[in-house]
Amino acid sequence: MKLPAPVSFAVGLVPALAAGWLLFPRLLYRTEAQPLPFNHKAHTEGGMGCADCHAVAENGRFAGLPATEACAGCHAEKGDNAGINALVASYVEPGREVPWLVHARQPDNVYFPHAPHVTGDKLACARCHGPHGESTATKAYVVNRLSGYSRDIWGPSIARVGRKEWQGMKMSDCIQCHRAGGRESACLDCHK
Amino acid sequence: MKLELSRRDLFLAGGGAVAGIALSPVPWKLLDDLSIWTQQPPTPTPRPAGPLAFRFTSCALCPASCGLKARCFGAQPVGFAAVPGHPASDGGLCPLGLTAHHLAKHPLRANHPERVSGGKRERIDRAAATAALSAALAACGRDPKRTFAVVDGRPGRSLSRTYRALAAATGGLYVTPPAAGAALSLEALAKRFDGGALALGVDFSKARRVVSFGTPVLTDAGTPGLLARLRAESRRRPAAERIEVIQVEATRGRSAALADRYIPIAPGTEAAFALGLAHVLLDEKLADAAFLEARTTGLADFAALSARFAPALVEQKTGVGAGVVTALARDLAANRPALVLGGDPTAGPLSGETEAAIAALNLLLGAPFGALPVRSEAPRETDGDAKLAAATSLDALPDGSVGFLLLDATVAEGMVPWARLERALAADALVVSFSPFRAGLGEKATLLIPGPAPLEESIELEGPADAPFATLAFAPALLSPPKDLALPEEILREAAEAAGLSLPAPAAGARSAALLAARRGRLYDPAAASFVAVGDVASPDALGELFARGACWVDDATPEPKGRFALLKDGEAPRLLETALGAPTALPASLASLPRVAVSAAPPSLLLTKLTRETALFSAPAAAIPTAARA
Repeated sequence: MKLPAPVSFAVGLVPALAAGWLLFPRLLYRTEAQPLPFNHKAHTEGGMGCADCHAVAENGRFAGLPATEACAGCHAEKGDNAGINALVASYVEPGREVPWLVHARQPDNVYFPHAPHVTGDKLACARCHGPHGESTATKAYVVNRLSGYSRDIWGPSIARVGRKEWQGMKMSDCIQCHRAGGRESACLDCHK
Repeated sequence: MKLELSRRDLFLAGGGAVAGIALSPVPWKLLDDLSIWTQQPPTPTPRPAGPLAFRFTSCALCPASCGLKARCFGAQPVGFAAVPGHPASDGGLCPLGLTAHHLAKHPLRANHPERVSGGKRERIDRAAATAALSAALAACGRDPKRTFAVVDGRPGRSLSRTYRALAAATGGLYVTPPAAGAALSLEALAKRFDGGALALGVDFSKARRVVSFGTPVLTDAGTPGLLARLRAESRRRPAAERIEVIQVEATRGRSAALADRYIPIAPGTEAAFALGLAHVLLDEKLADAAFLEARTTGLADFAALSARFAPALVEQKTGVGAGVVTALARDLAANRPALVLGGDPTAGPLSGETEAAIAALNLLLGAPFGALPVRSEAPRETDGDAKLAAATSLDALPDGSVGFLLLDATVAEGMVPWARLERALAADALVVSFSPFRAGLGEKATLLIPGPAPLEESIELEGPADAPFATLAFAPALLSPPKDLALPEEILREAAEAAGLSLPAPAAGARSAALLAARRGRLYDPAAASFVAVGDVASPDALGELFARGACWVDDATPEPKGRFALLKDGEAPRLLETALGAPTALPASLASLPRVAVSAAPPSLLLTKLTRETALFSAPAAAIPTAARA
């Protein structure tokens, strides 16, 4: 029996589509574990805001991730929470910084100032970072094997469709927002 | 039932697979990620740590010496911004200056002395480099046919004094490149003044029209970042108040590409074009009559000369339409203050007669003492008893005479063509460069002794000779040089001592002392955005502290001297006529091969070259305009 032409074509097409849409993303990205579990919601429910740990100083410098010293202010001693115990044992007591893997990290040739966005334009943190404060566990850090960037820079969907406005931090996303706000400027404003 | 697979089925399945891959994210996602992967910097800058701080200094990449506001994390500058109100640049900064902090990590950076032999680079230690210098100095002292020559791109520094002393001690030559920018045009005007020595500068902030016959005002000459900023600001004002730059050149160079208007002209016919503009200005009574009456002589003779250059004749000579000539002359008259600049000495100088015609055009437009203000030189220490060689030009180097050529790190290939230097070299000459880069003239050296990269040393910066005011800064270093880097001053003194040559002691602080003693001018403190009169500075230490904070000295306004300019000097008319009526000349072949950045000795940042390639930041290198395109 001879195969009909559409079937022969589909024999190649379907596996290729499956490989492209399902297998390729798995090969492209690898997952790395964060050094500690972290529950943002437990902190924000207690009344803390983003700026309590991730502050923008008066001089415009964004503090980024809090130092272990800041965590030690509340978590200096072990208790009945395994995550807190790991924090205290591995980082607070030896005086080491937690090597968090930062989802929003940009390349070294880019300077992203938080101050004009947060202090100047009063953008909410969630506008770019999403509802991070509501998460109850650390999200797995998924990294692109080729570019070395976090998957959060591209966004969760490989096709970049159906994205929320905070999903994706590529240069085109910055430009889109700047263009919408009439803030298009020179290359060297961000690239250094 | 047996399934029969044919070659056709395989092709169809293959086609289906190709279609499936094409319809999947594989091609475009791979393209995106691979393009990012290929753009990973070859020398990644470590992520800086430390608190945010702002520091001030001045850019040493070209003579403009623009003010820099550096945003630093800890000790690491991560970005630069211009300094509004800075006397040298007033908020202007070019793309080179914006990326100056990249250069210390440039892939072409050299950190150790290298000897080049048979096309191969061999790393040597400091002692071997000093021994080679010392031997070459001694050889020049023994053999009068092998001269020592040093080329200094930024005269007036304490290192320049050592160069001059070394040249004097060996009977050698201290060579300085021709001043870039509008220097020749300003000199041509000053030579026509009968009221004594006159130095003029260019004040773009007072001009509404800038016509350039070759000076790259928007890229290399003067303070290009400043003119670009002034022009951009003026675009927000009503049309009648805007600054426009008109480039009249045979080649569409980088500045011409950025200019508001570019008028292609047959090479060598600039004098005819200038006289054509003068003709329209005088014929239609558009010249500045009050200035001509009060400040010039020889109007009748010049009018008779320019009367021969009706726009129709100018069109024949230059290839520029008569209507364009007439319209430009009317535009200049209607939008005064206007100024006209000639050719750039470093990028294709114009003849003396052409500069004379351009000077006359400036007089017709009343530019001197307005957009071309009178200025003085910055106070300078005296030579005292020290035996120092006087500065000389490249022309003083006879062919095949130089046995030891020393190139300072500030000498850009655009300032001093390598072909000219090479001609001056004797057989087996030693060519030493203090450039921190294996690029430009540093690449030509047979012995590279890299000095500090930009921002790695405190440097004395005197503003360009065509600036409206004299400025002086002792720009503080923002970066630490690599360990064991040989400083040119130290290594030269060691070599001289080993060769038995005696050099005067370094004159540390002499320039500051001269500045304080002169009690002239003011110091701009960029951190406070305010001026301090030099007379109010209590001591040399206080002055040093101000300079260490990035302060810049600026001269007071120089009073307007009495005297008149000659529109035509004695015997000049026939020569000018001959030049203007002459046939177009061939385009110098060297123009098309000029380096992209004529006045900076440092190679551009990789980021800048990427932006240059991918954007319209600069145009393509100069290209000749075909004659047919001029019609």
